[in-house]
Amino acid sequence: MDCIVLDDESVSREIVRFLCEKESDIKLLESFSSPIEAFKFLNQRSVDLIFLDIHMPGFSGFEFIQTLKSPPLIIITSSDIEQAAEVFDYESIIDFLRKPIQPEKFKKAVSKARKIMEVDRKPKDKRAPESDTSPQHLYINIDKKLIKLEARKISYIEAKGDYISIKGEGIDHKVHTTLSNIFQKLPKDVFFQVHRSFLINLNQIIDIQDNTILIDKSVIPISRAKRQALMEKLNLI
Amino acid sequence: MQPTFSYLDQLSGGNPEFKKRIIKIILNELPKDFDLYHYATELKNYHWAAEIVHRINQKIAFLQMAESLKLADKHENLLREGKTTYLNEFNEIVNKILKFLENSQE
Repeated sequence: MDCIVLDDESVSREIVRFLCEKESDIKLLESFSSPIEAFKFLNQRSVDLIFLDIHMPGFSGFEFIQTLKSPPLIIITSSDIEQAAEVFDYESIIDFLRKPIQPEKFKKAVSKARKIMEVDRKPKDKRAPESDTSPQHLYINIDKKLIKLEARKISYIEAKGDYISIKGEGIDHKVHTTLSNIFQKLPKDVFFQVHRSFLINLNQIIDIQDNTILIDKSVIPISRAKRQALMEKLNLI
Repeated sequence: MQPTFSYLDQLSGGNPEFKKRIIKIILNELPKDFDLYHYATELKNYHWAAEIVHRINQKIAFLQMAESLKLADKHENLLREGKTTYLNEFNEIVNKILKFLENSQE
């Protein structure tokens, strides 16, 4: 797992570094004391996990998460236990480590991240595919009105907290549901989950570069765990 | 309450280099933070002082001073309200830590 640590307190950063070194599958790419520097780094490359402090001068850890278009897994490290309840507002936060961090709790949190990553990486069922009976259209409820959407016209769907954003040809809707819920209603041969927060229409890919996909005019991240499966889905020469 | 290295000892698992590195960082940063804290309180910029106390409190936590940490947390919260009730007590805590760390280097 590629990870970074963001904490304004240097001893805390050193401790996370030391604990990461003990986990063979964790690669700590960088330590940041400034959210701005971390943000710049994450614009250049993706990571699987962030160890994130909450209380930082001028910019809280929660505000930092909100700036990320598609947050990776996040483990909060904080001495402010009062703020623990707020972590439930963020899907990407998988654990809360109270400072000073206890090594066994760190191990447990990392193990949780590992399990989530493994589930994401699980290969698809290799048996002969069943015929796709998913409907080619679906209805969404907007302001007590049922709106029909043609699946082929949807470019991509992004999870944003407790709602999803559906974008496409003449389509721009926000719906209060989960990504997995809408995924079940879409044709499986056309839609693919490229990231924890993104479903894409494979027929609408313009290009793929490194860990991003261009669809319509939007750049969609591909998680490391999903890249291989995506490549297998494509008609590569 | 006396500071101890029990947390760092447990964490380092017999790695003296790591423990030394952490002590070195604290010894390097704590006096600077403490000076800055005094400057902020002299300016009566208590919000700033509280931010510095928050940073110092994490160092107090590493040295397993539970009671001192409670008082320092109170001090941080009161400073945010512009109250300086625990100025002297907080100074005593930090001075005690600095002395402890300096002695550990001898």
